[in-house]
Amino acid sequence: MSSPAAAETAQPDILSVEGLTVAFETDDGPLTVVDGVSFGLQAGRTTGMVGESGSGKSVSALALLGLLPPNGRVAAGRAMYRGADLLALPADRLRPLRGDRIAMIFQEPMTALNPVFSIGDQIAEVLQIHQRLPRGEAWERAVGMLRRVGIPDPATRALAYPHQLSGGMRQRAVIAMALACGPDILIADEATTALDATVQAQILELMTDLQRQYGMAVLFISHDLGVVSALADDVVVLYAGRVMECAPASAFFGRPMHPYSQGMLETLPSLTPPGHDLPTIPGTPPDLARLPGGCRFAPRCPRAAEDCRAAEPPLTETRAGSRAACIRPGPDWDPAEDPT
Amino acid sequence: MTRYLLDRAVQSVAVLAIMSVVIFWLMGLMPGDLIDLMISADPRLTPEDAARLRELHGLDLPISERYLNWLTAALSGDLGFSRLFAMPVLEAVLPALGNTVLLLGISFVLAVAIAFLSGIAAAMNQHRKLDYAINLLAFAAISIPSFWLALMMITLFSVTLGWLPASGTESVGGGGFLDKARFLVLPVLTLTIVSFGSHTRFVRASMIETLRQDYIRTARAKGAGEGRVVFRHALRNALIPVVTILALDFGFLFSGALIIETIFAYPGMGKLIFDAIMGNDYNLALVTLLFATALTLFCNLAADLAYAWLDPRISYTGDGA
Ligand SMILES: Nc1ncnc2c1ncn2[C@@H]1O[C@H](COP(=O)(O)OP(=O)(O)OP(=O)(O)O)[C@@H](O)[C@H]1O
Ligand code: SF4
Ligand SMILES: [Mg+2]
Repeated sequence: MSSPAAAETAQPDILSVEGLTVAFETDDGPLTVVDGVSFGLQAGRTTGMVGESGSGKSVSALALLGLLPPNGRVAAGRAMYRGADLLALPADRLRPLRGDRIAMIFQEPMTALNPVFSIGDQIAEVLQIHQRLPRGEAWERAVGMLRRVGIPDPATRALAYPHQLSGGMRQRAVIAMALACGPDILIADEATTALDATVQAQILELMTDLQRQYGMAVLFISHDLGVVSALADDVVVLYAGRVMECAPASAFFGRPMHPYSQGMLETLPSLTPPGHDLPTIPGTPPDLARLPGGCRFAPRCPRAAEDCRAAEPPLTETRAGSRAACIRPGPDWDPAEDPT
Repeated sequence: MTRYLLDRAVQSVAVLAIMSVVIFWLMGLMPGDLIDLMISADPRLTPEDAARLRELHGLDLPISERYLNWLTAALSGDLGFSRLFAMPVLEAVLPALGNTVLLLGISFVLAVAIAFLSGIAAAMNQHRKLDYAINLLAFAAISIPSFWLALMMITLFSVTLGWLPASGTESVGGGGFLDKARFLVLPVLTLTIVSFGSHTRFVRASMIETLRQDYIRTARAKGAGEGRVVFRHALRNALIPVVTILALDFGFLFSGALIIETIFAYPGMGKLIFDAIMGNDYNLALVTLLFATALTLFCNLAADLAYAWLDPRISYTGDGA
């Protein structure tokens, strides 16, 4: 990992998300589940997106690709990619980007692959769609991709159906499918969560390797702070649909600025062994339909005071390259100095 | 796979054998026999004549022996003589079987085609107007009694409008292909209407369930267009449960055919079974019922094959791979 702060200033964003807001139509009316999320991705860098279950990580990712469920819609925001706003592109112009320039890997390798087609078929299909390769050539390339993701005897394995492969092999096949067209951006939503620890480590290594080869930008969504610390160059922390902190990984893991980040890291016993879920901090995430006024983390925040409930704190720069949504950010807070 | 096919074929034959016993036994329970019929037709027959005739036809034997005699003859190709039609049973059955396969086949293909078009359209437009309209239509079709629909068809198209013939398979004196087709229209239409409703509902439900699956989202994330998503990725998966249901539903279609053939005086298996039973033609009834069973077994076998072909997770080799 290079120096994040230096790299950040050196590199323009390949994808720049600003104020992404997603609402779902529910039985109780519209519900905003992603609220003004902003972050950027850079070529060759991995951005780790962390947050409790339900914080809006998957919804944010799906919104970028126009894959929201039918009751969801983008209410506001921009996602600039090569001069085009992904969120405003008509479906027929977004579709060609999916799987070609922007690929996504989902959590469950078992259910993410179609059970009735061989994996070779499913990988070849991406190439047939985007590069209009004839079947035979697409198949050859699919076998080549399987080799690249470390599947032994790829020519034979290409003929296998998903149920004939182990979880790790399936996830490798999914990765091969995602990378077949050499995308600029890879979104991995809990790509390793369903795998056991050893396999998970292998897949992570593979992904790091491939990122180096392809030089793509990776958005790595995970519950697992250990994994994120091992992989990410930058970290985005979501809480109840809002970005709480956004910082280079070294800064984030060294001196987190937001009380929520601090809470998560404090309760994490050790960052080194991957396989830990996000530690739980006291309290429960708020009901999105009944958010408290002001800072949405206030009910669980040890630093919460009257002024926190006045208005939602904006994401503001706390030091070079780091931003936090808190009116009292900083690692050096002492309860004794608290004004309240 | 060959092994599995062989197993299934043996099973089907076993079922057929059991059915022959059951049907034979049930027919034995029916009051009266061939000789009673002869007596009522000709009152001058003396009890001695009757006894002699019973012996001649082997009707004095216990039912188990009669069954074995019948089976031996049947296995050697002699299915008996139809009293009603005054011809060998097989000669009466084969044309009827052909007619029924034609009627069922066309209706089935039509009903399934309509069911797929409307079921997929409904699933893709879930909770929209088109979906509601298709559902309404399907429910209406399910609720219509087939005999009532058949009568309405006849009233409208044959009696009032005079467009189509109401009964038979061809004009007096025989006709060409078009003539025969005209006779098929009303029975086929009726059978199609009464069966497409439930098929549509199955296709719709299966398709909706399939479109929710993760691999559909993967297909979209790959950049597949809507047509590819629906017809390549979803349809094949959605077909898997539907095939089984369609095969099970075949029995329903067959009983529907029985009613419809009778109303349209269409000389198929349904009408033949009906005539055989009403006319106390035991030999014919036995064989027609067995043919009906065989037809159903055959359809189930075909469904199993389709199932195995559609779903690579199904393995009939026994090693689970
Ligand atoms: N189709 C939907 N209709 C209504 N609400 C939805 C829908 N899909 C997701 N949500 C809500 O959106 C919020 C964010 O969900 P999302 O799946 O993005 O969370 P996540 O951060 O990915 O969680 P996890 O870690 O469990 O995957 C949740 O509160 C969820 O209940
Ligand atoms: S704004 Fe207040 S309540 Fe919110 S995180 Fe900061 S200190 Fe806590
Ligand atoms: Mg998620």
